[in-house]
Amino acid sequence: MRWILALDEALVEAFAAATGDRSAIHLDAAFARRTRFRRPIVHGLLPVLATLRGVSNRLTPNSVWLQSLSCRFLAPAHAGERLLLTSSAAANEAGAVRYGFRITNEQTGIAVTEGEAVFGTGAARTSPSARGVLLCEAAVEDELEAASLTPGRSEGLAFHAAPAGIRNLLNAIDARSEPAATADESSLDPNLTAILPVSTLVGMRLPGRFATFMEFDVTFERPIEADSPMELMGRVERMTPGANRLQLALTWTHSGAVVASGSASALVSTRTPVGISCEEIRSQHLSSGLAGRVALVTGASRGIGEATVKLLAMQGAKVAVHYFRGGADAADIVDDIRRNGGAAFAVSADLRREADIDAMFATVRTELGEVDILVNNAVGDASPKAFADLASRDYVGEMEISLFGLHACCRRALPHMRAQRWGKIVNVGTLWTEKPEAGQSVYITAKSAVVGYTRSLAQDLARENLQVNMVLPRMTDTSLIASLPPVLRGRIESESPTGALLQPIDVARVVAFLASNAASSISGQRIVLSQGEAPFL
Amino acid sequence: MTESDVLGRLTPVFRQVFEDDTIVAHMDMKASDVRRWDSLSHIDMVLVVEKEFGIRMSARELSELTSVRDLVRVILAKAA
Repeated sequence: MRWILALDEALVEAFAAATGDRSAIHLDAAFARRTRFRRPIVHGLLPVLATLRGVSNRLTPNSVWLQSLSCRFLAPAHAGERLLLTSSAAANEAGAVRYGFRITNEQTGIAVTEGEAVFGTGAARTSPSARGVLLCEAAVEDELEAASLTPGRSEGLAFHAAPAGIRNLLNAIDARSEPAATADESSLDPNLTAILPVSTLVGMRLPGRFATFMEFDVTFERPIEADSPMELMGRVERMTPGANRLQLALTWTHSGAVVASGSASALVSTRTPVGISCEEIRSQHLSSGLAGRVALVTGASRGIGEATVKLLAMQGAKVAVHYFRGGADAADIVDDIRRNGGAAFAVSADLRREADIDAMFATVRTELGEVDILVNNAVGDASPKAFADLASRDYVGEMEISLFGLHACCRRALPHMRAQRWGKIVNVGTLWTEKPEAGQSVYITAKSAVVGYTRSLAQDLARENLQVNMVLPRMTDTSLIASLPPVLRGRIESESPTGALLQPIDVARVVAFLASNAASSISGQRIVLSQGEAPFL
Repeated sequence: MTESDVLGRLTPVFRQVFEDDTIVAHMDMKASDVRRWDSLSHIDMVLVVEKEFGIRMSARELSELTSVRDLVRVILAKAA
């Protein structure tokens, strides 16, 4: 036997209206779009009902009754698709006939459902009730998740098995069947009607909207007398821990007597993430998080460090302006910040001396508070040196500031950052670690060590909501560049991808970004400021 | 163009830029061998070399070519 069932949204609505299974996965396009199905799917039992009704009609409708049914839902079906329903008799048994059935997508050939049904013969059907609805009470959709589906948990639905309750659904199925079927609910087996609340139970109650119906089987003791309400009870048997596959035991009772039993299984999805609201963005995600934070920037008396402390201060951070030799410049920077409403304090330290660093942190603590943001910008000597002239002490000398001094600052800043589970460390490096320049072996080696240090520390701090990152600017327009002969400076500018040198404020903006809440999911990274030039990390 | 050709044309450039008529450019000559070859006159020298050979040095070459051997190598590569 072969039928075509043309699926459309009206048919899905008719099934939902008849069964009370208004689960969002079938009817709510916005919800379905956020699931793995991406669009609403048709109730799995809908084409099964159409198939069994067709088989039943080919037999002797008024005297056959569904003895047992097992089916597996293999793939989703959607409104707009045409399903090919096929069924064939597998065996004739004493007083029963066994049918196998298969439901496929007519266009793609993909199997949607397969199963087997056994029909008993010779039932003396009583006159069905004229009641026009299936469920005794409307089902409210639940949203049970895996953790709450513990063994023994149960849910029940009261319903009437009278086929009149699904009259409109039968009409809708028949109208979309090819060849057309006869709409005569009086010939429908109440046992067939009684399987439909399973869809409601799984889709609305146990577990509800996060269900993907996988398998179902039922065995009836006898033909149902559709003269009074019945109850379908589902009980959680087990929940597989890995795949979240829910196994339910099903029991149908009528007047207190068990008339059928079976099982169902469904996958339970995790809650679908919903899009963030504008209100939440406005209240929680527009702030940089810099206001009120204490930021210590080393090497801040000029260039990138100067621009960074000023930018952080103008965004509300209280800034400590570290300097080594540039005391007058640092004082000017502090004055500029304070004149513009910011909070700043200049502090001197030789980053090669632990005692100096201790004193610097103590002073910052007293003047501004504990350090929330640490920007390691200080460098020893970046002037070019011929490789042949370099001695080990040259490398050690640079490392004392660029790596050991940086580490000493991090060690002193981390206890407070760890305690409050918020902290940002930004290390200023150079593009030359990725694209080396001749004559810069000492500087590049020291900054390369900081690259490794940054990545490593980021791993150590990842679980504490502390981020460690690095900015790698290309040649920046600092006092070092300003001291070059105009021809050389012009040539450096003209060779940059944009035709202009990177400005300290360009670097400072990226440092401020990494120090802000906006960069809380970035850690251990090198942010290259190459103005469009390779390398592309 | 050969190394010898380049050296022959570099000698008058050096004499003009470094203000020393006794200079004779040779492959082993370095900045440190010429009294007036400092970082500033180096830039002037390279600009004259660019004009003489019709080439253009990069900023990196401009700042790093402090030996005649390197200078000749770059000139030969760019003027080829």
